[in-house]
Amino acid sequence: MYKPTKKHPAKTLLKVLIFFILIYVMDLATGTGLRHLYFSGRVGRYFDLTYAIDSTKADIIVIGSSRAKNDYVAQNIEDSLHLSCYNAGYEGSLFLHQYAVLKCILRRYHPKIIIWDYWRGLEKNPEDYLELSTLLPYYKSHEDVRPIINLRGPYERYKLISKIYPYNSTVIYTLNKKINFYKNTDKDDSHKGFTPLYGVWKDTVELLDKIVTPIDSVTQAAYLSVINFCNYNHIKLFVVIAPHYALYKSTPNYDSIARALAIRNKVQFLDFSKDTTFIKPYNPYFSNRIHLNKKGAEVFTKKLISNIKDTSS
Amino acid sequence: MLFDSISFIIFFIIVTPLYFLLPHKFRWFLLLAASCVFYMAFVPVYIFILGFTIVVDYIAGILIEKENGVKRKLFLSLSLVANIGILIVFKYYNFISGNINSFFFFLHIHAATPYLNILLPIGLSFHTFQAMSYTIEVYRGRQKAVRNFGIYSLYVMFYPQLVAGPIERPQNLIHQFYEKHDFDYDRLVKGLRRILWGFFKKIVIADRLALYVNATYSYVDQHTSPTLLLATIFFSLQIYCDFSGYVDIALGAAEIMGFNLMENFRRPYFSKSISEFWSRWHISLSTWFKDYLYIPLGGNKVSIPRWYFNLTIVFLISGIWHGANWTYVVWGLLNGFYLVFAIVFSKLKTRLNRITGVSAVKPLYSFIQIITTFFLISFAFIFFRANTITDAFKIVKKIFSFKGKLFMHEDIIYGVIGLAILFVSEIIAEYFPNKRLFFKSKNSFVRFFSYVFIIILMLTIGVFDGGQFIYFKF
Repeated sequence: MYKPTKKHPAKTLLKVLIFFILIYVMDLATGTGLRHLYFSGRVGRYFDLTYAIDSTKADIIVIGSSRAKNDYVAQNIEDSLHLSCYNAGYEGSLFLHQYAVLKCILRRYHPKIIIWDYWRGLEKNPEDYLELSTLLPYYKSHEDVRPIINLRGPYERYKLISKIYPYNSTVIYTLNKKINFYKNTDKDDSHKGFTPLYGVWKDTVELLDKIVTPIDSVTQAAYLSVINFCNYNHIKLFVVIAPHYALYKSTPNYDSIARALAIRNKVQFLDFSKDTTFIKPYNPYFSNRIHLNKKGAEVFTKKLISNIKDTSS
Repeated sequence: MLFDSISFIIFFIIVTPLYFLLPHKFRWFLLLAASCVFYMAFVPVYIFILGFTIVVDYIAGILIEKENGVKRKLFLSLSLVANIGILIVFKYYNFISGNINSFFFFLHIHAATPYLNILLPIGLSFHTFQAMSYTIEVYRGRQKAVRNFGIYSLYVMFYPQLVAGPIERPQNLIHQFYEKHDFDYDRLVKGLRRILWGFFKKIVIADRLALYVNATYSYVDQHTSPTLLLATIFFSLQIYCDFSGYVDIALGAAEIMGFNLMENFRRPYFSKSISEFWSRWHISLSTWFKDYLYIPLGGNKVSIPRWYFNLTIVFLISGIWHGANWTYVVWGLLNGFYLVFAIVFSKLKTRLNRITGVSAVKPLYSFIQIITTFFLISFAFIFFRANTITDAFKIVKKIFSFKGKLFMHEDIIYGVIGLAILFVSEIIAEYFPNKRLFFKSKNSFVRFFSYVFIIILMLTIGVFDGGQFIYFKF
């Protein structure tokens, strides 16, 4: 027969109190340490992101995911257009992340040109919201980030009571950038935000069926607000689809809607997804199915610059 | 509702104190209502499927008990057909249909069976098997038919074990709903400790390893031999931490309210043979198959070829139970093959041991047995995890090519940190069960520091958007 144990309530309460104080102190101490590690780095993806959000004053801003980071050679853009350029692409970032970064930049200053690499941006994708966790370190200090992060869920602001939570899963990367204790296969040391990829993708061109997916009204509103903001403030916005190694039977709906919205609002929509320079058998320009290698990035950037020059003239 | 979500924590904080505050006679109703809320947090409409099986089995139980002879058998058969029928429609129909269509295509026949556009109800195989064990036990006369419909519903729906087990037997669970459980501080601490450990296994280890495994198994062509080998080993550990983590949370939550659910894992990776592994892994399912399939088929009390057949068929069905895909079929058959192979060559193995003398050096021999079992199980898991059979064979071929460099990523380091802690804990539990270390230390400072350390570690390196438990889909 199970006999319940009796405890003195005051003693139990004291134990619980000590436990929570210990958690609070340890969380505060660890969180402070992680914050220092995160913001004290001088290389790597966290540094690039912080630089884009807080410091860059470049005339041309490239925004997007890893496709932006790996495909747009900032130095070449700078040299050809004689305007400073920073590639604020961030690996694994989806549309709302890019939107939040852009809002932070636009609050500080107005660049002359924004090149937004568009990749399935309006597609309804729950991942889009989860992935916003990479912006948690900026939640308290950047008011533009807050409402976007709150889209992750109703409990986000409560989770942020923890000082560690914003820096969750950053410790190994930040430590490694400081003391280099292992060799990461992902190379992410950038030049003006651009990170080249190497190797040649040897697979065949992927044939994709017609894609019709639900459209996310939140991302669509974000997309339109950037378009309107740029138009109002005379910032030249170029929405670009960089090449990827696939052939669609017809344009996916999230691309055709983005194109229609851009054109209706007199924004340049440059689609390289069917460009035969890249989409052909045995071409040397891809590192993998959706990212160009260094050679491909240089060829693509050149083509893009020529397009930008054409539209500007 | 996912166990590793804020919603569940809120749910748990509300339901548990309410359970103790309510008079005993209303508690079953609270638990049933809470279990409905818990289940409906996934796809609300699927509660009707659950409701259907509950009604069928409840009535069947009473009728089986009342009748004799053929009628008794008939009611049991009807109940089993209803349960298996639901499984076939919701879990296997599209798989069967797809294979029929492929066969038609192969024969150049222009015909196609339709696909059903339905989602698999969460945990369908678990609660169906639990429901079936009730009617079988009533039929065998080992369990009285439950007259209280609410209590019977709770037996199938009890939220801690509703979606991923343990698959309880009615004899173990139903009587506990009638018993009065008073609040107990020690049980609360024990339960919370177990929940914390479950969260650690899920958030720090399973979901972290999943990042590496998913990245590798989704793009088999792009990865090298060492990367695929590491991902395969990681998957064996991921699935263990995912599933046993779930069970820890389930058992902890139930324990706080005074319920004892059956243990589902006993450190399976310390097994020295495949048969031992299956007595330590997903124990509630293994014993279910043993009691309701293997023994009725004759078990090992038949001719040797028939015994091999019995083992193979049990593991084949176990594979199919896990999912409607050829990968699970191969996984099940492979495990059956391991067991038959071990029996066929047992004499040869004994002779070899005697000649080499390896079994005389006990620690070394145990180590070799443990490692061999782990790698055999991991090899079979390639088929369990691969997206397709083609991918599985590609992975096997690539692993044995021994070419290329390891894909290094910080997830490996995070995973290894978590695994190191797990390893120490399992070693202590396996070889020094009487030692009271860390969570169980007599020194309250050590205990408190261990809890705080695990919580801080979860916050620092845990994966918070890891998604659902693997076994929820079965």
